[in-house]
Amino acid sequence: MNDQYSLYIDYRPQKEWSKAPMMLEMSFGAIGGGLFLVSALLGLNTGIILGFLLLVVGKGVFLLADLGKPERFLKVLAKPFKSWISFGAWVFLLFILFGFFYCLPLLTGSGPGSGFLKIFTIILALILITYDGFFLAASKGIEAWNSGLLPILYGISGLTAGTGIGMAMAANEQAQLLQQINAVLLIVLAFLVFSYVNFLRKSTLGAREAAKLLLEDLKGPFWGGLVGAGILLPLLLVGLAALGLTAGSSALMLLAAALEICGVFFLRFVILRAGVYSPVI
Amino acid sequence: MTAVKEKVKEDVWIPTSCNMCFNSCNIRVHRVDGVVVKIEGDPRSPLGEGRICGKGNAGIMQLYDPNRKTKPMKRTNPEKGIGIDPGWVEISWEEAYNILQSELEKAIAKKGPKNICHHCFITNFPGTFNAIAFFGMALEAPNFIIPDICGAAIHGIEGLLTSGCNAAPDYNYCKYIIQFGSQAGTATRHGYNMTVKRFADARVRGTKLVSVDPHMSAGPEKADIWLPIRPGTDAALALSIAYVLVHELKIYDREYLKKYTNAASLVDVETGRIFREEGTNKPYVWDLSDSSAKVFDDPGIGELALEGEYVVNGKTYKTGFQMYAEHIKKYTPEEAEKITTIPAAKIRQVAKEFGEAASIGSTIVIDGVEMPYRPACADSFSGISRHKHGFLSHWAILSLNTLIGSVNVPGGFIAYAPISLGFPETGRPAWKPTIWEEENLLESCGLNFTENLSTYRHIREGIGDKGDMALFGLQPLNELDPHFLYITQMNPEKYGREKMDFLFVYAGNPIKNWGNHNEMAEFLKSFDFIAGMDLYLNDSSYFYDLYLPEASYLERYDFPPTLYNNHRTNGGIGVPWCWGIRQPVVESRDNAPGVGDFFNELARRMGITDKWNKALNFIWKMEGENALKPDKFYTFPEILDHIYKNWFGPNRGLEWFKENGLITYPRKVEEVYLFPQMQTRIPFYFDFMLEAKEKVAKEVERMGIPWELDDYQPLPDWKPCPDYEIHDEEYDLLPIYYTNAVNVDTWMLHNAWINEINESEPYGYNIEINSETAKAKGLKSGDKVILRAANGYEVSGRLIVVEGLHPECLAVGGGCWDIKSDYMPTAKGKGVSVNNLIEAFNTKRLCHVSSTFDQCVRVKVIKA
Amino acid sequence: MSYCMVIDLKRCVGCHACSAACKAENGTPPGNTRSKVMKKEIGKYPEVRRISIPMLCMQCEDPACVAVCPSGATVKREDGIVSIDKEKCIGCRACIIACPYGARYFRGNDLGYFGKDLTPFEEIKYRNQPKGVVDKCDFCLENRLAQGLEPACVQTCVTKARYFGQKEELTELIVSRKGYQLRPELGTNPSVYYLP
Repeated sequence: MNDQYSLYIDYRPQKEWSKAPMMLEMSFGAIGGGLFLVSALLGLNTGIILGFLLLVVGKGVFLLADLGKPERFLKVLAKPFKSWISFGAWVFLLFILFGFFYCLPLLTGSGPGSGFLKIFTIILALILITYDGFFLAASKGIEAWNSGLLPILYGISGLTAGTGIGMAMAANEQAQLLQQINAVLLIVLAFLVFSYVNFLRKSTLGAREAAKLLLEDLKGPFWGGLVGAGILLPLLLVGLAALGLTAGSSALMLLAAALEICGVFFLRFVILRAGVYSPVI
Repeated sequence: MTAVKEKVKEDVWIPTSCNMCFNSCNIRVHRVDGVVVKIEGDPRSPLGEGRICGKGNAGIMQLYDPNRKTKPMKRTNPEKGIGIDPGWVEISWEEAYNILQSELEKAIAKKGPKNICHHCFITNFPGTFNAIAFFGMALEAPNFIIPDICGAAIHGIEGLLTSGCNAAPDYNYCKYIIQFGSQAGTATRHGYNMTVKRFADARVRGTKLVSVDPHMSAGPEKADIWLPIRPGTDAALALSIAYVLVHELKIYDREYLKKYTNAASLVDVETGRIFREEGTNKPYVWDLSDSSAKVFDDPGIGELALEGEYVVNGKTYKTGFQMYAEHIKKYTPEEAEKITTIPAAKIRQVAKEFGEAASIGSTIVIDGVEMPYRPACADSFSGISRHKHGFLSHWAILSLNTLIGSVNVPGGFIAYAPISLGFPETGRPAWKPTIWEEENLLESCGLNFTENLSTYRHIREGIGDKGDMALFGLQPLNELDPHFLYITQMNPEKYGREKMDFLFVYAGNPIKNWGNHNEMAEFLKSFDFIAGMDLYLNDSSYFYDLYLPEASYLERYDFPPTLYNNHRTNGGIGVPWCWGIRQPVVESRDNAPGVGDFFNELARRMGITDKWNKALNFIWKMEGENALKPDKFYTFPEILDHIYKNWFGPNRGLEWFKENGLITYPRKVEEVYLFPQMQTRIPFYFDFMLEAKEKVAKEVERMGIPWELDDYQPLPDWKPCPDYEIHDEEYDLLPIYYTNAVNVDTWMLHNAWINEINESEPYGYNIEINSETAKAKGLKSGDKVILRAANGYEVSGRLIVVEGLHPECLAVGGGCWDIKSDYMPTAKGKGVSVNNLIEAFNTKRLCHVSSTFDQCVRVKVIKA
Repeated sequence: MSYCMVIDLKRCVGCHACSAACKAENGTPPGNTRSKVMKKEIGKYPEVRRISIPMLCMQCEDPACVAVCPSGATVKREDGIVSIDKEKCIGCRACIIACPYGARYFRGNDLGYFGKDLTPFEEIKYRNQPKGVVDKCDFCLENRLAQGLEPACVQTCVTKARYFGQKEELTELIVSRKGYQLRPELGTNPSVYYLP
């Protein structure tokens, strides 16, 4: 691969979405959305508010920061039935609106919204944690992203972090349940990462080049950041706790949650950085 | 950002001509409200028919380059050296002229006009004519430097064969082209923009291209067969192709050789000299019909012998062709493979295809004229001139054309413009080659002005030291390359000269265009005073005492850029004659003058307007009422008006050309092909080389100077370059340089668009190395390396591993890049200057016949 | 009716005239090479060839960029040209990511070739190159096609390697010379064809 010389025809990593704002926008969306979802389902009120804020503020700020013309952000809504980004923006807008009303009662000390409001908000959050994967998968030029695994990978990764934060915040009984869910999600995530790499290695030339990039040039963030820190280490911490083998102290769970948050970031980091265009000829 | 587009007040297209290289293509420039927004080719011109190259398109970036220095300046720090701030202070033009005038007068008073040297040439070719007229003619200063080493030897040999000192394949009809050291028609050379489309047409038609080049440049990229050759061995390949044609395939044009060359002349086997008739000096030939020797033009000759050995009056003679055939016997493909690394089978294949493509015996009718048709051609250019035995090598290559009978006939090797019958209304400008009577040989029409020059007469009468620094008197076959001047300036006593004190550099960068830059710095320091006229403060400007800014080509007038010689008018059937204009499109920044305005004014101030006008009358052949009056001062545009009216009549003066831009008229078939319309011949056996050798030998003995005479021989040969042999195993690689279609010299790198392209291509500024070579040396792409020559000189750069390069070579673009001047920030530090590795003043590297300069220097690669 | 370009690689000498003409015509800022010449080596010494492939927007029939554009700034026009409305573009760069041909460029700053101070040429031309939006080749739609002129790269091509016109007019040439599209397997159906 020869990415130094723009006029040489070769495999070439994408550069436009390889910087911090895009990675952080995706990460906040996943973490906030995951936490919101888990909390809404399990009735963790603090988690609902924190998740809502992380998603709306975190993702919102970096989304704007990533735009060339942030002042025109409303135009992003123009093509919801054609463009994944536009669709996602609508979902995001609706989530802000419905989520706000869903969360509003919490401020007055009562429980969150229920019924249709709850279901609809949860669906929107679910879309939000997966749609990054969908719009990457829609990028024709980058074969490494043309995989149905990406939305699932993105969603599971968000839920992992969500349950992780949840378990660090939750009271005892819920903590136990969340630890168990978290452990399972980490195992699923590990399996999905393995499957994705396997897909890359066995797919088109462009995808294979991405696998090479992932396992060679990006081996630090991949093995250290994603697999080691983001999956295996928290799995060890959470798994032992979930099996009742350790006390599952809040400090350790906090550490696990922090590691899983890193995992969310590194997953996006390596996937974006391994986005490779195939040569035109 | 300005949101609202202002209302346009002015929107015009102005015809002029390009100066992003020396080809001077006709262009039209789009000016909107005083700003140049686009440059296009002029669709009426045969020079591109409306198309222009990347350089030409990028002219806008030169015009508006904020790094251009547009006010005159003088140095305040006497210490000279690259990177040492000269302490430039801006001065008025009045002061600039005064300094220049007084320094010129001082230098002339001290040692005479020979104390003045000027340096200029190809950057602005028409502009150069000012310096030639002013220094060379008005001041009668004989010494000059030309930065270009590309054309050495080739112009001389092309003059001998085609009368035009520039010749090329007849692209319209040629079907098989072998290019040696040339990318003509794909990336470079005179009339590139005119040739490149015709060559593309030819490829689509099926014309085959064989490219002999160690590097996969644009030429080999388009070639059907790439022959990656060991540098400096092209002559061995050419002579081996000749061997296959003569000895294995027996393909050569016997009739052509007999009729159009001196190949049948009888040669004394003892002396190698042609056997001539006493008194008339006419060569003898052998008549087979009555087995007797007769003078070559004897009407009674029955059957002329091309081959064989004959005894006349007890002495043995062989024909010139026989001498050649025996001479090339040593160049078997197997031997040539050892020298060139090109497989013998490939040599045989190319020879066979070339010989067959020539269709010997066929004829063609063009515009009602029947002529021989030889659609095959071997072309040779600057790559060959970068080696020591340049004359012999070019000759070895071009003699292939003579062998197959393709010189001066359709489909073959023809002069750019051998004959001009002139503009129909005026009959001007016109030229036609003359004939060397005693042997009926075609004479040259010269390179720069269409003068009738005779190499033969020069050898007969003109050999002898003229006191010039270039020692032209010792190089009768050297058309215009004054490169021995470097040697004599650095060693004046050894050559019986006096060092020159004054140098004027116009649009040049002398420190970069020859050998090692530190040695060249010493050369520049050898002058007491240097004035430089340029657009930028380049590396050489660190040695200037006075800097004179010139207007950009879009801001100035120049002499008619499509010169009336054979340099610009690369033609052929269907390519009309075209004469254009260069005129200002926008006002000159800070009113910097054009070079023409400048010299015209300088001549006035020095009180030599009469001599200046006379020189211009000579160069532009202005006659009668169109001639400039000696005692009258004309503005530069008025001079141009005279030139145009002289050529195209009273109604087509400067104003007409300013409005119309150019004039074209059809080229006639008799202006394109010399044979058979001119019943003359070209040399095959170069007897005059031996005549020259004798005379030069005598003269150098008289002068008591060291001189090499070995290359004066009557038949071409391959001889190894000084660094052909590996003297030390460690120094095993030969760095070579090449150019492409978006680059010319160091100043072009400073163009922001060109630089962007160069930076984006892996080959642009890096050192290419063959993948196998890199592997063997444990090197990879991106490695920073030092190239060290055995003489201790070093350059450094970054490697890029490639396949398209001979394994014994390293390749870089340009060869003289890597600008050091702080005043050229875009170009600074870009590229690798491999000519920095070459000893600049070592006569062992100079061809003593043509002054080609050997730039083959072995290096070792050291990881930095 | 749909515009189409055919590039004859037998003619092309990889000289970059098109690259520079495009720079001049469209005043593209540093790093933006709407029209460019890409290089590649194929094979192993000595059986190797360097090739030059002139590239520009492929004006695909089914453009990947249009599909991802959230603001509707990028559209496929009836005449086949894919164009960008720079007043609508929000600079999300999804189109750059989506394009398999590397035809799109984002202007992340407002610098010129000599830094902050723009040349008179840049002052004029950069009015059409605002910061924060994406730019690409549109066959010189406004400045040339609208005036009945062919695109700048076609006009300047020194070997006349480029043919420009309606698809129907060029079909015969494409078929007879065995023209091909770049990466046809992606299904974008480019309107730029190459002749071997």
